[in-house]
Amino acid sequence: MFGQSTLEKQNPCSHPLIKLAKDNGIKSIPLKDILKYRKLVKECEKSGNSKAIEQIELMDWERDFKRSKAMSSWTSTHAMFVFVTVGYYYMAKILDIPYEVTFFP
Amino acid sequence: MKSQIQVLPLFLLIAVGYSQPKLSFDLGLGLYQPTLTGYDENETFPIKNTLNRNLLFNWGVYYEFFYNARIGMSTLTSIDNEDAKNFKLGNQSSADFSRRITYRFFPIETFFRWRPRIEINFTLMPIWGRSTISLETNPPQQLDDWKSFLTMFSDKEIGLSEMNATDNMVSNWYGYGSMLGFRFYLTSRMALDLKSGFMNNTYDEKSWYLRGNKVTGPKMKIDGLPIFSLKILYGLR
Repeated sequence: MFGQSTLEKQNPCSHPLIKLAKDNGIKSIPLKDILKYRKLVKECEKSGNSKAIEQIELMDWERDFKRSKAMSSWTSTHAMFVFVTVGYYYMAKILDIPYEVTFFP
Repeated sequence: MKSQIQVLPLFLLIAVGYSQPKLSFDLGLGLYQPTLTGYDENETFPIKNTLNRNLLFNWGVYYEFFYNARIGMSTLTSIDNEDAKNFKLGNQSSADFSRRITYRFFPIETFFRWRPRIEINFTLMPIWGRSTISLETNPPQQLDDWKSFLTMFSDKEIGLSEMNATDNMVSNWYGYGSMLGFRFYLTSRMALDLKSGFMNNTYDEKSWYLRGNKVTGPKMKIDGLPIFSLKILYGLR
């Protein structure tokens, strides 16, 4: 135990929170540990490992981007429906035509 | 075909289990332009300005429940107040006046990232609208004050027998809306979100309630309204 905490003090980049951010993303860090994580990031950068921190941030952006760059399953249908309704509403406003559709007049 | 149907629940379970849940909280402002005829027709009410008419104060909570989808609750509130010095009733009395119009959105939002920092989102939402008017009147003439206040909207006699010094009348309605949005991520947890769309509300001025009695309230045209919102949000997890 003592040996481990001494190692973390010597090398903040090896702290479990930094490892968690590296493996699962920055958002996986619990809210209560955010300040501690930021402190560790600063210490890690001071110790000359700024590349490792940059890498964590870059990977986080990439992870989020890859996960949501394409729509999956029913979400594209939902998006198309919203796009059409908003588009139709604004077009009707601009052209000054009724936007409410009456199905059973 | 049969095996595909059997695989579907399993796929859904895995998809939900493996997707990273994200809870976010946001604060912001909305902008819209309602026509509140009931208030404009009478000089007793505060003069309309951007702050009490067009601006909506917004807070919301969202939960990402699917790869590209969130559900949540977002509340937009319009507030108007006037103190007793400037709010004179028809019976020569005065009261502290307060009016709130609250639009509670229950959005289903889908999204995709166009660039690593830029997200485009699509929102469809049922709305639970609620308006409240409260008067802080001077005892013992609270009943007369309320009766005088209600004559501004209708001449009909209301069967009220007693009122408290502070009382309010409430109206609820439902509606729906749709919005397109653009989100810019400042950090992986924090973002700015700009949305534009419309909302339709089924408000009826004859459906106000004051101490269980149905009364007539102010005329408001709040259907088919364009709406804009700008908010800052923070991912809690």
